[in-house]
Amino acid sequence: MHTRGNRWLLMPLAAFFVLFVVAPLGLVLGVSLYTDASMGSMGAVQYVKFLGDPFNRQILLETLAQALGAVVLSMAFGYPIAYLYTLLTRGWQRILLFAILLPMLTSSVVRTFAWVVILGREGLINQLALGAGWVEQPLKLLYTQGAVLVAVSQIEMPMMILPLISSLGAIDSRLLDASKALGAGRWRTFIRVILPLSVPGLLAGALLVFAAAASAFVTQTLVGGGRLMFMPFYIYQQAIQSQDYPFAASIAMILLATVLVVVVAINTLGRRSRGFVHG
Amino acid sequence: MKMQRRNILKALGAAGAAGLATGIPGLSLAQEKTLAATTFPGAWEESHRAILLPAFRKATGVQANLVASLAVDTVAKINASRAAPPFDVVLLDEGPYLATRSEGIYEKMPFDKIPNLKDLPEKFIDPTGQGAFVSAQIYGIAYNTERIKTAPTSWNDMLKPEFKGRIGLVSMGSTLGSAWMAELARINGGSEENMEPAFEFIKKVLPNVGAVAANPGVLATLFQQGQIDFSVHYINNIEALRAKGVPVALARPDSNWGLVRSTMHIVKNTKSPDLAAAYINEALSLEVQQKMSEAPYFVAPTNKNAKFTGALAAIAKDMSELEAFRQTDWIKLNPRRAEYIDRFNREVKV
Repeated sequence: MHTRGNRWLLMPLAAFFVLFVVAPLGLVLGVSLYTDASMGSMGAVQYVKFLGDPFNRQILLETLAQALGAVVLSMAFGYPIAYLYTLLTRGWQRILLFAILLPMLTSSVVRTFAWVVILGREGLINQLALGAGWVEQPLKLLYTQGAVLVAVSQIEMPMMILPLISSLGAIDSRLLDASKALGAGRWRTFIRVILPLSVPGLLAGALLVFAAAASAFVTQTLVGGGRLMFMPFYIYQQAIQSQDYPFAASIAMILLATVLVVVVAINTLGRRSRGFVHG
Repeated sequence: MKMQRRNILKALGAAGAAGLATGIPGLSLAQEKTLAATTFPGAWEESHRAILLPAFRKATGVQANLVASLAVDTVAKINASRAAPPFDVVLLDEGPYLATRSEGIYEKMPFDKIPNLKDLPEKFIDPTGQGAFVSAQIYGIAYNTERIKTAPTSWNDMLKPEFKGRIGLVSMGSTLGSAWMAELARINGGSEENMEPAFEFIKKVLPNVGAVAANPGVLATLFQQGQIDFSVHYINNIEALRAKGVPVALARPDSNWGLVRSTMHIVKNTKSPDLAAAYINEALSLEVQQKMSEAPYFVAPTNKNAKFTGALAAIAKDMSELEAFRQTDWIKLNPRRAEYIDRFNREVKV
């Protein structure tokens, strides 16, 4: 009786999910199966066209690499911040949390433009480098893979820090005392106790950052410029500018499928490492 | 459901018209209370808000809801919701309009409700009656006046080694990009149907290219940030930058100025066809077009009574000169646009 009641409560959510997630996805899948832009006949031509072309495969690989890079970078910078958070008193925690959330209060377009201003030819970094005499010519920072990586990582950073904070905060402090009492130093305690126990947070953060970074349309386009191409802009271009909906839909499905593969891989990796901790 | 709503609205409108009978044109159809219109981002949006919207309000008593949207995006949005379109009247570029002209998404204009059409040269009215040219954009050589002391005179100047890393391109996916590439093809022996010479030019200029912009708006910020010194651009973006103190100017290419025309259309299945007609009528009026053609907007007029003044007068003295500027044959270009966009992707990608 009890479980049945619960099941009924899930119905609105399930209906919402079917109506607004499953059905539109089915539609995109359907469109992707037309053979040409005029949508006359059906077939898997679009997928063959995409995957058979090294130019397209390169775009896919660069998009995935950019997203994975953002995961690594946001972990490297996010972990110390999240760890610092657990060491602070309540009052300071509040201030730090506000600082972490602050970027999320402005739109990603604004944050992206901030990076354009920082990395531009006459931007902050070049002004400083030129002023200090480190370089003679302005460096080309904007419109590079590195620029996209740094900007996307910073913009998605809160997605990494927040799950990490909750995961680090849940670690029983007696475990740390026990580790110390058993003779482990600070680093050993961190590597053997804290890090493994924070894996669920790292995992959740990695998933969120990866999915967001792979589809960071605005930042990829504005910081990457017209000579770099990522999957989200490719979808927009083919659908809206080239009016080739079937090809655009197939790019969308391929992006979705590869992101899912990576997500499952991260999940499996996490489950293994958790098994290692507890086993 | 929809039928019902329409019937109720009709009944209400009839009752209103009978009761009010104000005599003010546009107000006689009281059921039409809202109008959603699109414009382009930048000078168009600013000038439409400052000039067209107040004029439309004065004529109809209705405050139009203006949405900035690029032509290709607008067409996609209408196509996605044909039965209940999100806009009543839309501003498009010639290219995207002609590509969708036969798709049945535009209403034939009621000529009797747009009296200002009589002030338009005949070739500025679409032969199918589905729209009218409301304005034009002039494009030429945009350059940074501080770093480039003598104005470039030809597109071929982009190939000079002194401009290494200083040239800006705009993506083939934009109207400006398509029009300019077609122009490059034409002056190098090609045409809208043979863009090979244009792609050859891109190949040659690529070592000098500092950035490729996705659209004209981004191209303008590239000048502002000192990222590029030389590119193709529209007069109103360049004049807007100049007004902000950015050292830029527009020069005439020896192959002549380029012209891109914009069109306005009543969307099929609109709930406010009369307001949409009134909106187009205002957009074509001498007062609105005259003001929009002056500083700081410089949107070229299509009303034959409009006078060319200021920066616009320096480029063309009247309509006949404007019409002689380099134009794009979109009918020929459109069918191959997707292919050209793909080719452009491959040429510029690092």
